[in-house]
Amino acid sequence: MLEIKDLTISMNGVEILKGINLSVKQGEVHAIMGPNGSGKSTLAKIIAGHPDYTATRGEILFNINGKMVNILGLAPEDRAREGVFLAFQYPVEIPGVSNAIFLRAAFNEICRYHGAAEMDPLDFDAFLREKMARLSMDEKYVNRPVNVDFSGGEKKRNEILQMAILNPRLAVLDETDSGLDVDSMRVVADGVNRLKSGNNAFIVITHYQRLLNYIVPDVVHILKDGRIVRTAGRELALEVENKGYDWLKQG
Amino acid sequence: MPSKTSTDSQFMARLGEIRKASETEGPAWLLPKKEAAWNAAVSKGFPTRKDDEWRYTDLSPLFSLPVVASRADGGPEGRKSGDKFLAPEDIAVVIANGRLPEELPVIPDEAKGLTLKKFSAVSEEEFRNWLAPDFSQPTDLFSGLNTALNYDGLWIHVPAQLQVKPVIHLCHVASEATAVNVFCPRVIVTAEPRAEARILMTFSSASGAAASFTNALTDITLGFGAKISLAVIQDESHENFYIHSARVTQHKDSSFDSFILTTGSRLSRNNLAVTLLGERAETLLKGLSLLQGDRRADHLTAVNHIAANGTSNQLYKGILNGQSRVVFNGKIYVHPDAQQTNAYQLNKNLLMGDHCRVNTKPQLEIFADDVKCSHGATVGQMDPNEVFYLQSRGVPQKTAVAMLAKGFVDEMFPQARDSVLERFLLTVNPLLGAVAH
Repeated sequence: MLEIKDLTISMNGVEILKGINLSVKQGEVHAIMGPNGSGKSTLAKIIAGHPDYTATRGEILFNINGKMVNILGLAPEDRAREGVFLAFQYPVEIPGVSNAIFLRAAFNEICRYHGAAEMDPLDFDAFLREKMARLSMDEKYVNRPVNVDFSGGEKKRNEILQMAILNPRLAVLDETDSGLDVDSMRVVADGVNRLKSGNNAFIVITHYQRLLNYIVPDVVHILKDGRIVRTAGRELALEVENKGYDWLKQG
Repeated sequence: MPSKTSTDSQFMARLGEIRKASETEGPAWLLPKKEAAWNAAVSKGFPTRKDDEWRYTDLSPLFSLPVVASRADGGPEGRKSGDKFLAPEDIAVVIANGRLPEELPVIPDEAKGLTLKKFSAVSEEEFRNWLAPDFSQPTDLFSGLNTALNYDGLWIHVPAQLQVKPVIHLCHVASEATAVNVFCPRVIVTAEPRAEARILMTFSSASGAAASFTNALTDITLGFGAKISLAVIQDESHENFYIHSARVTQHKDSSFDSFILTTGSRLSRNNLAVTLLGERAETLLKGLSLLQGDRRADHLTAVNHIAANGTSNQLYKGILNGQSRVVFNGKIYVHPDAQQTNAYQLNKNLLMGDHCRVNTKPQLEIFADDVKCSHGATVGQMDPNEVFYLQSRGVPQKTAVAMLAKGFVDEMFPQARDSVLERFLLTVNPLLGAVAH
């Protein structure tokens, strides 16, 4: 479903990602761990199409209608419509735009793109409230401006809510666990697990093994200094938890 | 520069000709005031950019206007430009080409006690009791010119305890097709203790109307515990020159709020001076400028805290495109006796074009020691992180920008939709699409 080949990114003459290769199949959960500054968030952002990052080399191939297409040339909104989702490490506050209006606009954009009928406000409201209830989100967040005056935990839940509504094929979770207490983490993980199917895939970026107790990865990668230095099964996450990252040689 | 001096003196001379036409109009008590106001204006002369309050706005294009006296009210056709702003339940006064209508509206039963009166019908006694203070206020040049050139003013009086439910709508329209007119509408609002009313002033011009110069003056006095809302919509043609001075005096426990929406014009100057004379007065001033092309808008606010425990909040926003330009000069004075004052001011501007410009100048003068005051100003482009966030959810870039611009504006309308807000949206919604581009 996703093939990243030799992805290299420089910013101001400094290489942040130095030839990343990553292959994610349908139905898989991949965890990416690594120390601060290793390039994890950069990788998440370039997959979603953040305008600050440009690849100097390599490609990101994503299965669109059975064909592997390099999405580096697609606008962020087109990637989203093709099923790429990024749960932001720092969800952005949008003053003046209510959560419900934003979510319905996003949902209907994607419906339109795929030639499906748009959902009317009443149906969408019911759909939204059901998803919120599952994430134990208070109804007051329906009409609040997006992420404005949300606590850290509520912002992260709001990301998962958006994911649940947009139902992506590939979701990248960028440190969704940071700043979450155990209960919130369980709610967030539950949201991911409920969405998980044989037709989608997840890339979970995290510092800690803890989240991976709830979202069980098939593959764990260690990203260090812009390179994937080790790839193994979930036991690698435990190893890192015990030994840290220093023992891993740079690739 | 001699050439400039001659231009503004020539303009003053043209105003002098216009004045002759209105010299003898109005009640006996008003004539000496007009005379005095004119003489003061002539000796004062027009401000220049050396004057602090006019530093960022150049008046010289005004001086080349070939103004003549307005002769007609434009007839029913000419008044149509204001129709979209009228709602059937309003107590509406259509002020066409600066002229009050022959007949003022009949006051509906639900607003019984409310008085709408032309100055020409105001008695000496009413003048002394209610209007005199506003004629003895110190004036700037344009307020003085308003008094000197006004044909007839409107007095709105809300008696004690009365809550006026319908909106009092002063619907100004400019429709003269060829001659360049000067309009000097004047309103005085007096609200007795605990009276409540909402006043909407709309300014629009008919398509095909010649350029005009509106020089409006509005005085509002709030008695003990009174509540007045003032909404102003200036949605005139690009060619218009507009100066509106509103002066508000608040007594104890009164509450005033205003919302000025402007789409700009050649000159759009909005002076708003609020004096919190009594304790615990509250004031909330909002302004929104939506500008495109080379339109201009200039806001000057002056909030004067004289008494203790007052609260003032100012929130002015602008969205600019093209080569448009906004000026915000917000003044707050806190006098030594005005302890426990809360005075806040915020000016936020969104630049959508590469050539638009904002001059923002907060001015706080605080002479009391136990107060909370703050001010802030932002001028910037749309946050790319916000745009990306929406895009990452499938919203196309253009729609994302429009949504964010709408959010920037909607933040100013936290209240439930009402009939005044609907009128705002009539102007805001179509323009947002054009400005946020």
